[in-house]
Amino acid sequence: MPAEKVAVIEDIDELLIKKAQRKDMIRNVLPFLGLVFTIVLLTIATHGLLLSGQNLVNIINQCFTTALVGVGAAFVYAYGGMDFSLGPACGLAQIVFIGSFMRFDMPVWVGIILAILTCIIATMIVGAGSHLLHLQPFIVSLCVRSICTGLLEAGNNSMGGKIVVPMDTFGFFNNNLLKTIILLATLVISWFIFEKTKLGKEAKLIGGNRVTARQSGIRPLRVIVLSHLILGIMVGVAACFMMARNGMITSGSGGGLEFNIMIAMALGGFPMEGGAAAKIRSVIIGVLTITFLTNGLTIAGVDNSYINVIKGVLFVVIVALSYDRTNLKQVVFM
Amino acid sequence: MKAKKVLCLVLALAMVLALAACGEAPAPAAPAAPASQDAPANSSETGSDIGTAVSTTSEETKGFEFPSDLPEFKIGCLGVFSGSELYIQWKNNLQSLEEKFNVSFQFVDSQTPDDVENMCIAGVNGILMQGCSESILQITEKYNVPLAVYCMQFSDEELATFSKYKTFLGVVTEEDGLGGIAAAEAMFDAGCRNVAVAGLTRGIALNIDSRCDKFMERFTELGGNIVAEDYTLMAFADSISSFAAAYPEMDGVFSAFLNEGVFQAFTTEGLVGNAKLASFDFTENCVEFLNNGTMVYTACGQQGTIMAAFAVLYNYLYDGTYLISDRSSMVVRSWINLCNAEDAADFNEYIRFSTVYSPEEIGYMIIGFNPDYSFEQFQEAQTNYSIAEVKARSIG
Repeated sequence: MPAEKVAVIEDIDELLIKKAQRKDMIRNVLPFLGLVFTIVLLTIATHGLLLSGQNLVNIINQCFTTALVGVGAAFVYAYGGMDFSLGPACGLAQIVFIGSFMRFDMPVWVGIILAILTCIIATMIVGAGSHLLHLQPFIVSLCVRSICTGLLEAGNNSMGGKIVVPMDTFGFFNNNLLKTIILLATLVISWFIFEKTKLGKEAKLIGGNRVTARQSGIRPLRVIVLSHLILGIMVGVAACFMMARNGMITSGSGGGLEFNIMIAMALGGFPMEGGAAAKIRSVIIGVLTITFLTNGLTIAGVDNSYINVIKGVLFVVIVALSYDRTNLKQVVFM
Repeated sequence: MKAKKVLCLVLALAMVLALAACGEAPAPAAPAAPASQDAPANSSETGSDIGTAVSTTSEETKGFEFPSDLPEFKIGCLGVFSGSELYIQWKNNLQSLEEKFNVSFQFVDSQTPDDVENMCIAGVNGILMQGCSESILQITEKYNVPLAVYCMQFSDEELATFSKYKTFLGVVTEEDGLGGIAAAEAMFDAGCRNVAVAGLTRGIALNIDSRCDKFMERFTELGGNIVAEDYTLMAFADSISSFAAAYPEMDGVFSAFLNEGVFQAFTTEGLVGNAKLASFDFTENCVEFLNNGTMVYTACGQQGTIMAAFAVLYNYLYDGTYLISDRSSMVVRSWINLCNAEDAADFNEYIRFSTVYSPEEIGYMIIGFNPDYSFEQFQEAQTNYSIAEVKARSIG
């Protein structure tokens, strides 16, 4: 090949690499900038109240369950899965927990295990079911969502409608130190598993290209099952804390959790289709952004309906700027 | 593409900055209660034209004057303040008190523990809320922010627990079960014997469940039959259509609350004139349905409940005393019971878009302003609440 032609090809390669690097940088930096921008703006709007010591403790409290479930969901979203049943599963776990304690006089630790098991079963059905039946995960998760909602309502009705959580027994779940320790431990362990172990890498590889992953000797079922197992554990733990935080359980308990997770992940720049760009830090940034936003805007006195509008606008902007459309383009041009 | 991204970002930033700036603006001053019936409606930032407020003044409050130099209080209101005329009216009614009481309100259409925490950090002096739980009271206790509850029922056990917290000031509410009983009696008296019940998904709101439970209990006790029940989240129209198709013997429907779908279903299923309707709340169609005899009962009139709860809260903020002496019992307000077109016309004129109480009437309930006022009088005012009572207080 003539030297001139080689030089042109090298130039094009360099350009493409630079473009890809720029895109990567935007995807990595933008959510972080969004978080910083949100904090700075709201610190000004709240006259510094946002970053007061007491409010920072509140922030940990307010982002606790979303962060916990978010890091669990990262494993599932990384391989290209999704789960719409998280909210009702979380509510059902709360009913199982409180039911075991109030109806069957079981110790609290048994209730915790039962709550976690409930969520594991729900998430496992979604993960394994969609893989084995060759169905889209969202279809299976909608079915599981419906089942969990029905069981939650039935359980709730059988216990008299609104279940008041006895705080003298469950009050320890509201301990800020306990929450902080669990949150930090979860983040560190999840980060390690996600970024440094075979499971995390394989999940991302499956998310990037399932066919290639299979041809590389990866068994998707194993990865899917383990990912959903982690998610189930996280939702179950979150359910225990959510129950004590709200002080009551109704048939609406846990509602909206799955959507909060999705919004947080998108705001953090987590690729919704999974793949190599999936990072645990994206989930953390997203969860912090949404929590600071809600917390700060309320403290600043912004009307609740506008808070949702602002969240929606930010969601669109950040997703539009950081979303990876490579796969989409390939499909279009094929 | 790059230009689009930049434009998108700039627009979003502009919007966020504009809205954040809105948050810093002082709350709009609400006009005082109109001086006469001809006065314009009490406006609000909603900008909705929701009718003419009736100004009220009871005999005993004549001559009442607010003390000068009242301290300024910021009050957080958590619940629902949009989406229906009652909720908007709640907001308007509270805003009608701002000037005379030197208070400002921050409204939040949600009531999670997170919201309560955020309100406390925002520096509110007190909270009005449409719900409560022990975990919420742990938060208010931590920040020493008092909380009064409106329009929500609690069990005796819950209230006993709540009353251990000094920041819990008490509950002012209607008792939904009483409305259910009244609805059952009205339907039975109207000749209904086979009635279907449409309610909200069970377990979401205990008070709504209580309406259905007490209705069915009383109706069965009277000798009537409950032919069907459906508790699908707010799908009242679908429920009524299914009832009409499956139960030709059905001669009445009890709906746990009203939306336009109920009236539409009655019309499209040919139930007007063939079945009776009993419910809660008031909408525009109630007038027509009460007129043509299809609707035999509706319980409404919660417009003033939030005002009474405000009195409970302000009383504590002003001098640290509890207006509700026994906080382990709810203060129960009477429902406004509408059974015919005349009732509906009166309700429409005197209560529907009314503040129900003038600032002076609420001020009269504050023990710090009026040392002779007692809890018994407060309780009596809530029990005596009726169209006739509001009419008697109305000016003009």
